[in-house]
Amino acid sequence: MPKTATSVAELRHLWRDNRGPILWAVGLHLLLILLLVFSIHFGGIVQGGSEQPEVVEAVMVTGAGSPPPRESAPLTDEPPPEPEPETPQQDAEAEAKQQEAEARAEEEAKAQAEAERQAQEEARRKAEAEAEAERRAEAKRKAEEEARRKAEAEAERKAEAEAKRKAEEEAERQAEAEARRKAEAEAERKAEAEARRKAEEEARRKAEAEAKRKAEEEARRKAEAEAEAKRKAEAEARRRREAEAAARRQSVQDALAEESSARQRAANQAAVDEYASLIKNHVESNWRRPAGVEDISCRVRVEQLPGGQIAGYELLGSCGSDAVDLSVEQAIAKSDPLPRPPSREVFQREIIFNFEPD
Amino acid sequence: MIERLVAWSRLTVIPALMLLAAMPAQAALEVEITQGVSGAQPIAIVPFARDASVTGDTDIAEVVDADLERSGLFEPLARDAMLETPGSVREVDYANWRSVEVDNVVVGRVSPDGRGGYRVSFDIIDVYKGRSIGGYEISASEGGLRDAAHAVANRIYEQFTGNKGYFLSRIAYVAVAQENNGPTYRLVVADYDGHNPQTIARSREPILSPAWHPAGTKLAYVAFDLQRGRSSLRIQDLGTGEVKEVSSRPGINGAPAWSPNGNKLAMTLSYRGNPDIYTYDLADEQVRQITRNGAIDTEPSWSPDGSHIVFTSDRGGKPQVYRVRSGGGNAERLTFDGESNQRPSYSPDGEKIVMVQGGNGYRIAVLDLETNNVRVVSDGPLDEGASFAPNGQVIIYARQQGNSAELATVSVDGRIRNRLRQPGDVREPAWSPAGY
Repeated sequence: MPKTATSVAELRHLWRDNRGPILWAVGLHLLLILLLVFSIHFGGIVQGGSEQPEVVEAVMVTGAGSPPPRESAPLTDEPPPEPEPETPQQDAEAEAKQQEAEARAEEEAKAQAEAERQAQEEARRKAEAEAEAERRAEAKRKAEEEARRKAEAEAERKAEAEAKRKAEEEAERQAEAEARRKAEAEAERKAEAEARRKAEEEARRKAEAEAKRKAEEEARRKAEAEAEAKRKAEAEARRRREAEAAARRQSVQDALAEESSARQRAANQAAVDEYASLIKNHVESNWRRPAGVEDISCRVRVEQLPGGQIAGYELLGSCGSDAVDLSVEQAIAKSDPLPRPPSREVFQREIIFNFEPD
Repeated sequence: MIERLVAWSRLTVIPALMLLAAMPAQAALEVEITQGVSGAQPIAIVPFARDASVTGDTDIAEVVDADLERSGLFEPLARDAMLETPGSVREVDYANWRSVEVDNVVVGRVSPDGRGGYRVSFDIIDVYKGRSIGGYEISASEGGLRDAAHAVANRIYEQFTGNKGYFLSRIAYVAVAQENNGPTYRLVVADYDGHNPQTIARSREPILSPAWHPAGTKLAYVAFDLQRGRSSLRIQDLGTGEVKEVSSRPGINGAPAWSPNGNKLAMTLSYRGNPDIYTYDLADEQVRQITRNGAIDTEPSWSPDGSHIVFTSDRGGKPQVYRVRSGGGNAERLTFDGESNQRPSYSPDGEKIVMVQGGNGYRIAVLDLETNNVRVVSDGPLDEGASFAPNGQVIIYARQQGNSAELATVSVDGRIRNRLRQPGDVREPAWSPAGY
């Protein structure tokens, strides 16, 4: 900041702070000048009348620059004496002048006494005014002091308020920070919770999705299996229906064939019995049962070829001893080939021999 | 035909069985086999090949032939009916044997074993299976070819019957001969077939009741001393010839029978006045009376487990078979069939008793202790002295004919009988316990 500006600011500050006393001092000096002018006038020397308008003007300036209304009261008291010097100034007649000079002398004496009195009065009033001014100054000072104090108090209050405000602000800020922190923590927690919830949700969703997928898969598989089963069942049912239908269509022929086949079976059974008997006799004639051995019991499975040739055989468990097993094996071996069947129909590829001698 | 029968090896049977398994069960024809041929088994014992260095003159095949034929269970083919005499399995033409209806053929060879003895090897061949069903080898000492032949017969016998052969067993018997105006009694031990007879005791006075020690190493028997007028019961060691007199008490000292463990003898003693059954402990030489009865109790025989003694008693009026615990106690009558039953003897398995049943003559009978069935197995009319062969399948007994007697065998079912050709008057046979 420039130095000049600082000094101007200081002047302004000085003016603002001492405006009252300065105005008082200026006003007092103008009054004293005025009195001096009047006294010269009274002395007979007219010093040009141009000075009076200046005073008026000065008064006007003073009035114009008077302090606040409360403090302008003393100024309003001053104007009344001002018009008084104007009134004696008109007539300059020699005789009349003498008389008048005498009257005037007396008048002047009186006026002088009056002036003295007025001066005294003025002095007293001035002293009073000064006391008043002083008192007022004091009051003003006090007021100012009070104002300053108040201002200070106000400032202090304000400072306190400011501090309080600041503290409050700080508190508020801290509270806000705390709140924010809490909020953030809460937010974080919430975010975490949310994240967790979301993760769980996601996992649950995935699990559900997986379960659903599996269930769907299972359902689909089941459905397919059922469809397959159904298809098969239907196919089977269809096949059976067709077979049954065919069977029904064939029923008459079947009945006839059955009758015929029953006869055939009976005939066949006789042929089978005969065939079995042939085989039995053949094998028994070839089985040399070990002497003195009892409790012989066993089964032998034999496979034969259509010509009766034995293709293979198997003892289904021991007959009781190695010697008996040997005798049975030899009986089978010795029986090769087996008797030819009486007819092709009774031929059996597999024969079970039950060795159960009495 | 041959090619097909060659396929009877087990290797070809197995795939055939797999084929069978795949066949539906109802497709099979069921055939009941309720009887077989009960005759002897046709078999051919081909003369054994022998290396030139083999000097023994024993014809192994001939001994085997005789053993098998004598058993009654085999029907050996006569040599002059054989179309070939193969010395090994490879040389066998199965058609040749089937054509003479032989089921099995035995071929073998004798060769030196390099230690002064012989090695006898042989195969049992199934003609219808077309292969060997058993190959064996037996060692023999220089003079042991006959025993080796019996061993071959034992092997064949067991293969087809499932029972041990008895062709290596021995018998003891009493032979009576008239010498120098009087009878001479000999106690003889021989092979079961009568070969190699050896007299172990000789007397002008009767010798009775030879009994084999369970180990086959000793004989107990009864000898009479007519001059002293008493009998004595003796034990003779067959190895050393040593004789020990067990009892020569007044009266009867008779019918010795060895306990199964060989520690005791059961016998009949009458020194207390009445013939009763006693046991004699060979360790402390003490006798213990088992039966106390006014009747005659005699001819004891131990059960194979040693728990019981069967004996003959006429306490019921006629001689019958009774059983008592070997420690003594009440006797239980076992026989009710026939007029009389006497001289009981346990089978090796303890399930049967062979005895002499009286009625119209005397015959050999077998009592089944489980069923109490009695089967008469000999023809009589005067049969006696029966005992089981070691395998329990055959019974030896003496057949009285006129003034002499001969030994005979019969299968336990009575179907197969054979005479053992013995010289002279032979009686009281006893079959040795062992013989394998």
